[in-house]
Amino acid sequence: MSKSDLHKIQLFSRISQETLAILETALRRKSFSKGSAILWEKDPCRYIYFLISGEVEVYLLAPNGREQVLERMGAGEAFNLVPAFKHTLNNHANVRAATAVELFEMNKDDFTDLLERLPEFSLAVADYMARRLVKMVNLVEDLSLLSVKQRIASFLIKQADTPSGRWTQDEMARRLGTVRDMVGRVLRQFEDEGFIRFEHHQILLVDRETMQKIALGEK
Amino acid sequence: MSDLELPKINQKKCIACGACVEACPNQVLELVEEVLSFVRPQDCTYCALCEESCPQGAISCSYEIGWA
Ligand code: SF4
Ligand code: SF4
Repeated sequence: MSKSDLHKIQLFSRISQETLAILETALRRKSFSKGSAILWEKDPCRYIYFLISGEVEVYLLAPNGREQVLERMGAGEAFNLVPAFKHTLNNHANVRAATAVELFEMNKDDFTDLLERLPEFSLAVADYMARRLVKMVNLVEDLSLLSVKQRIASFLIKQADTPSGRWTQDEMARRLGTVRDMVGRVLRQFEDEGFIRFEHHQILLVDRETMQKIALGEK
Repeated sequence: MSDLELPKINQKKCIACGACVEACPNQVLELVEEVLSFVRPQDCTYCALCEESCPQGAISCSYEIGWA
């Protein structure tokens, strides 16, 4: 296992070589092709995952079959940590490979065992989960408080600041808890009003101030 | 257009109904022996009307998002 791959994982970034050497023995490397399922909601939690490269989509399925993409995670992130803390818990969401994916998996029992044995690792996991929690709280806030127009504006600003790949209107809709038509309509409205510009396969935001106002519901 | 980004066609989902061929304002698409093909790729403006017209969700246009 290459050391440099271990360093790509955020959670391991400040862990000593000594501890890393122990963790390494519990990691197995795996690859998934684009589109394949990595885990299913409600299945018993068996593994924790650390993403070496590629992107995954975390999503839920509504009873009517509509997907709500909760988030897209990229290289360096870890997922399925929460259900590992209680053996009665199942996976919380579905995860699939949005691109070709390389990851490390760690057996759930090894994970809990290592947490007990290695305080340095427990602290890193707690720190990582705290950061994830902040992100989730922001997402919940966005979903519950903002209108679709605000959500789209806020999404566009976030993407323009820290791009994470390319998005179809359908993917944006699923990420934002709405439907494709709605996204199309709002984007066209933004374009008509001169807030964004379509340049072939690019959506370019013209002016940050206006976009921020829309995102805040002030416009 | 120098960089030829084209909408993605999922041939497995396509039922060759021709709706996108009709919808395209630039006659970029045609059914060639029942297979949807880009016959004038250079004329594609990436307007996504083909994507909107497809009843099968077989065409998708993806975008990079950035600042102007
Ligand atoms: S994106 Fe527009 S121009 Fe290009 S093929 Fe589709 S409808 Fe035609
Ligand atoms: S509209 Fe969709 S299903 Fe019909 S020919 Fe075009 S791609 Fe195929």
